[in-house]
Amino acid sequence: MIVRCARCQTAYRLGRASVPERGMRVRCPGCGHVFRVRPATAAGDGEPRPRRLVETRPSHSVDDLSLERDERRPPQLRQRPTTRRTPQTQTRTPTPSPQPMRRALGGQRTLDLSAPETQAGPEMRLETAPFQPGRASPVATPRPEPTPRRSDSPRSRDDLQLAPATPAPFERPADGTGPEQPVSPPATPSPFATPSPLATPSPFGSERPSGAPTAVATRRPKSAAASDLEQARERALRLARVLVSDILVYNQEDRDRALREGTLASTLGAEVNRAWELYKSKVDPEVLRKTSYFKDALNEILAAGQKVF
Amino acid sequence: MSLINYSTQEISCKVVYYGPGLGGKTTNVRYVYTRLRPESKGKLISLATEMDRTLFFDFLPLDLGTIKGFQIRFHLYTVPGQVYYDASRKLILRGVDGIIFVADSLASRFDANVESMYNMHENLAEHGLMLSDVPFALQYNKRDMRDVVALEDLQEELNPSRYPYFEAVATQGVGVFDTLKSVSKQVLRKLA
Repeated sequence: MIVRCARCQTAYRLGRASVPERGMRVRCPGCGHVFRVRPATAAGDGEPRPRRLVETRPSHSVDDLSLERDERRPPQLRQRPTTRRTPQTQTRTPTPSPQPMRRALGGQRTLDLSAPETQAGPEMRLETAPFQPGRASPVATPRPEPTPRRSDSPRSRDDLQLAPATPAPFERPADGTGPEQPVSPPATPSPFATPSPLATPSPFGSERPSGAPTAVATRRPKSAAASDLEQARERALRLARVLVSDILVYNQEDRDRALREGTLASTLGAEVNRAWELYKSKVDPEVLRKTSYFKDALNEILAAGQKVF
Repeated sequence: MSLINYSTQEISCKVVYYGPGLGGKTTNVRYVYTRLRPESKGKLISLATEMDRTLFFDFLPLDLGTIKGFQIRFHLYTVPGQVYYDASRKLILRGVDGIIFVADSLASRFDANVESMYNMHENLAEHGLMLSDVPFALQYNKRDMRDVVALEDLQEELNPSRYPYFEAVATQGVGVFDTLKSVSKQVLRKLA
């Protein structure tokens, strides 16, 4: 089937068998736009959905909130029935349940696609990006470089979830069969421990232990332990991105100016330090040691893809 | 938990606007404040930073008429959305009667929505509550912006149990009263 990016209009050939019945989200390697593809649709899949808005009422009064007035009105079409106390509700346990994380690992793929309608017709990679909590927002951060990413790149957030055939030294395979802890990893140095941490290049550079991991005996079933670790990673990744995103949206003007002037680290250093401290306090120490989610988020979100941190 | 004062014949209900930072919680409350008759509303109290960002909460009391001789008073609160202010959010949720989750539709804030939703569940649990115990509605705000997440994707991730939800443009008032009305109805039904 042919799919076409709504933003740049580039067409790609996508194997129909690759598309699940419920559809999937794909990222255009050319422009980074993410759109949904369904098996039944062909070219034009990337057309944006029409936005539907609730009509604006001219004015409101407190009576609008009363039951009596409300019941005289026809129900809002977009309001779902309030019969919602289904057992499924219970899956929203007070603590983060695995249910929203159901596609935490399995759905991430990279498909090779050819662009049949372009002259060059180079082989291109179209990334599928199933919508997942804890992962990047689908169109938030178009990659500055549309070049295909290697599946073994440890810097790729996607790849961290892909469980490559040859796991990175600091990673455990997703199937839980691999070692769970690295060999005596050095204590995670605080990237912002020095008085002017951001002035030093690559503050997180030494975060990952370089030693090869070894198996550590555990009494828990490996699959359960792997699941726990993956959940911890998901949460850490999401927390890092949210903390950095908060810095961005609350300091948008300062950040834009600092980015132009090349003073990002010094301008927002206090905010970054504060976020880092919170991140450290909330993230599983093992995940903190083995990943660089926070630094990646800083570079990707706050520095707009530049390697500032 | 609604506060019923038999001596003054008043019932006070607490509705909390929850959600990620800069999602539009305060905008919702301010819009409600600007569109109501003076006799129906109290003073809007806002504890904000100099940048006009919610530091602790916003508070707006509303009078919604009477039921069986009892004056119904709704207290609208917002929480600070930034991750840092979790203690404040936890405190403000105490005694909550209804929650409006204001989600930011911008794709760049999708993770923030999910994190805030998790945080809300955790904080409700701190008070011995589950979301299914509390009148609840979602508002997908900023639907007029570019680069918003598709509604079905927001629903899939934030609202798998299909609570009432509304699309909104809070700066223009679109969806603001629809959302509040939905939750207030649920609260009043629970009272009855």
